[in-house]
Amino acid sequence: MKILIVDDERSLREQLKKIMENQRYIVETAADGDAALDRLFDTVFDAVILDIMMPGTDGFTVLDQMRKAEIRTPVLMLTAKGDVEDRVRGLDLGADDYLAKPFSSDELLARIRALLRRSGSQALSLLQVQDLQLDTVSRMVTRGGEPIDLTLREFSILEFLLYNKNRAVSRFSLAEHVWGDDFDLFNMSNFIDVHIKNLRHKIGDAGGGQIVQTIRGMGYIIRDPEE
Amino acid sequence: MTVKTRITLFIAGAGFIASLLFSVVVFSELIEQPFHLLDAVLEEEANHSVAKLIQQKQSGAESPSMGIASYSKYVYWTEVYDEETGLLCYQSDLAKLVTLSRIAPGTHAITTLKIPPGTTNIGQDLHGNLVFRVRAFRIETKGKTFIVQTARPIERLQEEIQDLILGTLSGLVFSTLVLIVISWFVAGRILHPIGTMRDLARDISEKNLDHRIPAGEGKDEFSELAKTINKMLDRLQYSFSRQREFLFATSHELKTPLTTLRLAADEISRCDPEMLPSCARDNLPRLSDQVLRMERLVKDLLSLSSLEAMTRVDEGAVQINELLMSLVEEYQFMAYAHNIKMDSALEGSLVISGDAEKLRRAFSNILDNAVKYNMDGGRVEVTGEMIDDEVRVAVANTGPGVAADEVPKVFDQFFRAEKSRSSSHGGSGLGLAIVKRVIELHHGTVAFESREGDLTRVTVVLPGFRETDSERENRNLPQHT
Repeated sequence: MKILIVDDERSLREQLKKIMENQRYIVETAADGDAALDRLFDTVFDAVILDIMMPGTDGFTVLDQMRKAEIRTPVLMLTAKGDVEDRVRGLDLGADDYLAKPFSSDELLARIRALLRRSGSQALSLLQVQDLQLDTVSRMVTRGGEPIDLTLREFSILEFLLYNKNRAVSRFSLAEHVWGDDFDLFNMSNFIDVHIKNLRHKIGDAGGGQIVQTIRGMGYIIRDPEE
Repeated sequence: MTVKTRITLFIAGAGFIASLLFSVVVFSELIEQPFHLLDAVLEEEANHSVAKLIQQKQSGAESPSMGIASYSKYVYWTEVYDEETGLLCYQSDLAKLVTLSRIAPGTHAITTLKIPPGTTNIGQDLHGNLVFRVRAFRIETKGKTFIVQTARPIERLQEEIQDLILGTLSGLVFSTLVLIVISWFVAGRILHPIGTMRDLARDISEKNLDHRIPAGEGKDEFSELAKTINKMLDRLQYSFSRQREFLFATSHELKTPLTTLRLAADEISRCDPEMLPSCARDNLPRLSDQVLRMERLVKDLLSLSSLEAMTRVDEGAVQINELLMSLVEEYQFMAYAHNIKMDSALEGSLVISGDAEKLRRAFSNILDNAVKYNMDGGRVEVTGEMIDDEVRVAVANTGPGVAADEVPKVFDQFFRAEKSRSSSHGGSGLGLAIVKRVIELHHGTVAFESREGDLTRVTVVLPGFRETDSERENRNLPQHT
């Protein structure tokens, strides 16, 4: 999996690079829009992480140019503004998803995985661990073929954990993903334990199976030795 | 003292002094006037007496006093002396009755005599006092020189003078009163533009800095002042918007470094704690906490500054009861995790018009506080009801509460009930400021009551949704089947 990271801030660029490399992605970086276009016309990438606000050729221009050149690599926009107009403009220009700064590495990785799954190479709407399946399109969850009825929040939690498979997810970033900005989650994220308890109960995980495992002092993980 | 009063007093005072001077001049002229007339009459009488005397002498009458009464009026006191001999040549009837001391020729005097009433009745007052105007002349005629002293009682002169004084004084008082009234109105007219400016200045706040004083076409001082104030408002408005933009831009700029910081802290906390040196292990939780707190602060700053810049919100029908219901459901989990009991009593249909997303944020902040500033085993009660076309939502919670003297400050930016305690809850200190702004934008009110160690209650009142007539008609349309 080859990913291009485009950001004018060197420290953020390096940080993103390190995080992606830790997940065994192959990463290239570009410090500005023109460099990004050079790389994109030169090499085939599986995904692009693109900062919108850059001096000179900005993210919107890069997006516009690459789509006009028929480069269909999925793009995750990074935006400092949470503005609706910015999002709409980006999505209209052909971005596949957006992420408002600041974000957690869990969120970033989940988005990238979702992006990669949706695009050609892994066009699978199904996330799976053991005999538990989650369909991101039909939003159905089954275990051993038996449908499981989850609340919206429980579904979101499971989906996020599955996108971060084999990677510990902190309580905070999980809560942030599910509840968004409306809630001031600082020091409050332990309430997520209640939701996890309900989720485990519903997926029949309360006993020995332990699909959703607890990492003490950190958060949760879904481990899949097959992957 | 108001400027209006001062202007009135100034104009009236100046007018008073002017009319006082005028009155004094007129008064002194008038007071001399009767004496001039009297003196002229006395002089004429003297000449007349001498002329008569000569005439009588020529016609052969020897007695100086004979027949004089026939031409001398009773009111005149006249004595004619021959200068050479010093003999009295003529004496009028009044002179026979009353004796007046002699004065030097060419002078005049005022003499008061006491004539007991009953002796004669020539206008003396009740005490018998009678005032005479006395003049003495030296008259030369046909080689002879006479000394003539004439006098006349001045009846009712005192009364005349009193009348004059009274008239002048009442004229003065009257004109002063008229002056005060006129200058009061004049001052009002002059100061009218000031009133307009004052009203505007009183109503102006950071929310309507675009208001301006009508300067008018004129080039007078007031229109200059209005223009100056307007220019000042321009500058104020400019720096206000600059400040707002600056805050917005700063918060934005903070986001990128904050992202790097957060990702870095995330990565460290992902390491095996056994692998970290103890100094890193000890400091890491604090670092992560503060990064998240800063993130919240920046987000809240951005939302508050964009809310501050707004003058109105998108309006749509919002089911407050449903919105609260879903929030209560969410917070129930948080409350449960903190061993807090959460109850709600919501009326069936609480509809207002407004922006659902912003209202959600506001009520979320209120519930957030109710759970965070609570205590173990505490409770939160959410009530929603419709009272007189208004939706009233109250959130009450147990907990430490806020000291009475701090209650008025709770809606201030960065207010924290107790610094150490609140920062451990991570609040940005902007939660209630955001609530207040959102509710204001919806033309509602929010009140905060708290007693230390007892219940804390936040009450939001929002104007209920009003259906337009056509909507109501549609709803009530009878169903024909």
